Amino acid sequence: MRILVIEDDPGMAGFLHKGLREAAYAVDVADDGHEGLRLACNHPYDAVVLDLMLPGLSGFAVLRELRARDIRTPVICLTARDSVDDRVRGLDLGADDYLVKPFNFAELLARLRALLRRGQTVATNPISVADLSVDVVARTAHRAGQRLDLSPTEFALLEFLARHKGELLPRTMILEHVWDLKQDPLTNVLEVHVNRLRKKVDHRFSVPLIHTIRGIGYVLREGTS
Amino acid sequence: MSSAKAPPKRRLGTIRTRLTLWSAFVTTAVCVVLCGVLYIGFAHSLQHEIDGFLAGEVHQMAALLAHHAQDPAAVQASFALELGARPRGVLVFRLKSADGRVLVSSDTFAENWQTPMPPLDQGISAEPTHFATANIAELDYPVRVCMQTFTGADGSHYVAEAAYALDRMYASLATFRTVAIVALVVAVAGAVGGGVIIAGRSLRPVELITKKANEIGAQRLAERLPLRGTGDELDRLAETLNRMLERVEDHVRRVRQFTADASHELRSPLAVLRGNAEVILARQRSAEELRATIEQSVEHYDRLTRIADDLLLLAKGDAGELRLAREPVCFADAIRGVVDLYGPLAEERGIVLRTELNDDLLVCGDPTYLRQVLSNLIENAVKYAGAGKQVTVSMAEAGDMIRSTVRDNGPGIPPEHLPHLFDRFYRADQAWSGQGPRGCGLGLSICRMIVEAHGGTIRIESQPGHGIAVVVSLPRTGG
Repeated sequence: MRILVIEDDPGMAGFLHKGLREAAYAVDVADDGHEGLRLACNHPYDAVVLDLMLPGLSGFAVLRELRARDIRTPVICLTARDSVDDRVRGLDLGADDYLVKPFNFAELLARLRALLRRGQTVATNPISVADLSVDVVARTAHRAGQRLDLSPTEFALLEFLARHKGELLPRTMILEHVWDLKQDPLTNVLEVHVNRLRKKVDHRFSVPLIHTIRGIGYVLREGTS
Repeated sequence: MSSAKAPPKRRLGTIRTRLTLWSAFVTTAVCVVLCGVLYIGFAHSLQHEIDGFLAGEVHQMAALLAHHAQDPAAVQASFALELGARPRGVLVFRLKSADGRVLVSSDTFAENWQTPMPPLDQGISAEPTHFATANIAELDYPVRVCMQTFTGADGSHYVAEAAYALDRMYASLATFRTVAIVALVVAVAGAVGGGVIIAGRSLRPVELITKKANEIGAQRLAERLPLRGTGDELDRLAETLNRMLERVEDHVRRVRQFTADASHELRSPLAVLRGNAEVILARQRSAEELRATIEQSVEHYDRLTRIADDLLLLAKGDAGELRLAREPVCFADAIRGVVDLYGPLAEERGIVLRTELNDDLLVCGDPTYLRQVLSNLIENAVKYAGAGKQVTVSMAEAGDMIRSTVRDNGPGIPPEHLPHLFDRFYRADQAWSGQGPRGCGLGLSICRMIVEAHGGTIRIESQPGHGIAVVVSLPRTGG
């Protein structure tokens, strides 16, 4: 998978480059709109991460030009301004997703994965992680053949983790998807939920599946790293 | 749009000039009409008097001449008798034949005057007297002529004529005109002068206000416009402007306070981040140590992000740019969702989180923002109530509002904090030493902003030792 990052801020571009490369993507960085447009037009990228505030050619202009040339590469826009107008304008011009700075890098990765996965249906049910099996239709979960007794909230949390198995999910994303809450409460409220779930999913078994990445979020996977 | 620097048109544009011009115009118009009416009336009445006098004279004369119209000497005698001691030339009698020839004239210089003839063809009894104003070639003023036809003793028709010179009447009217014009000029001059003085006097306070208002800037917002204590329109204007200044000053003060608080609030996490980084960099560290520090720093970054988000949200609210969805929201469901999130945390802290809900009550609003309000309030309650206490979220109908209460039976807050709880960055928990990160003091301000943007109200009731109740009222909808 090859990703083009169009971002003028060297600090931002640096960590995007590093982080994406470590997430096993091939990364090219363009530091202005003209260069970015040139690269996007001449190479078949799998996705573009586009800052909207660029010197010279703005992000909006790059996006418009790309779509005008019928280049359908998925684009995630980054902006420092959380204004509805910007968001609507970006999406109208053909952006596929939108993130407001500062964002969680894990969230960018998750959204990127969602974009790259788009079109491929992952309709396997039940979802299995090691000896854990989550049946999202029957809304039941089993581990090593034993039925887990989960509350509806616990199941919703497990289901979200299972649907993104192996992916690091930032706290804010979990809160938004499971509880529909857009604001990070800064308390350990989510930690308490995860610990309860962990008690039922992991405690009686030798291999833990729910892992905490401190300061960032949680991941459901086999093995520690 | 013209630039603000462009000097405004002054001369004709000022109220002073316009007031003066209007005053002069109105005064002139009134005087002209008044003088015109008086002049016409005066002229009319003079003429009327002269006509009456002439008609009497000519009537009498016709009756006298009827007996001896054919005898010029007798006619002349009658004329002389009638004229008596009148000054010569003021009143003139003449006798004319039916064909218009002058037979006898009381004054020789009037013998050749050309005057119109009364209509004789209709018979002599038609109209006793006829009037005409005749211009006489020899005179530089006209004469008023009154004529009467009669039949003499010899059976022929005659015309008796009395003529009155209008020179005195014209002189009177001329005098009147002169006086009127002088009066008019004086009145207009007076109106202009008076207008200038009155406009100047009544507009001087406006100039004072303008001058003072120009001096009041961002640095001198505490100053106020002077009041004269007359209670008139301008005083009321000044009072209104002063009240506006009061609000502006208050707002600017709060913005300054807010900016200062915000910077301060951002400095603390920044200081921690920087300090930690410096300490770590000062020596060789193990991978675990580095990892622990970085993990810690992520928490501070989250805190900084949250402050920035909250500040942005408040700024949006202040600018009136908060865009709310307006949809029917089952408030009980919203509460349930948030209680579901905080339930385990409350349990862990030994707090019982209870709800008393009513599924039939719908709020018209934005579910995301309403959940944010509930999350803030319930989080606060769970944070401050203390172990062994109870937090109850209840809702009730109150007219066309839904009143939702988050109540705890914890320690409560001292009353001196109550008026400030919704102030930005205000913290009642300065000495609070509970677990977890402290809030940044914006939660309740944001709650209030969101609730008020929904057309609702929020208030806090508390008595030390008896817990806190936060009451949120939101407009209900039928769904």
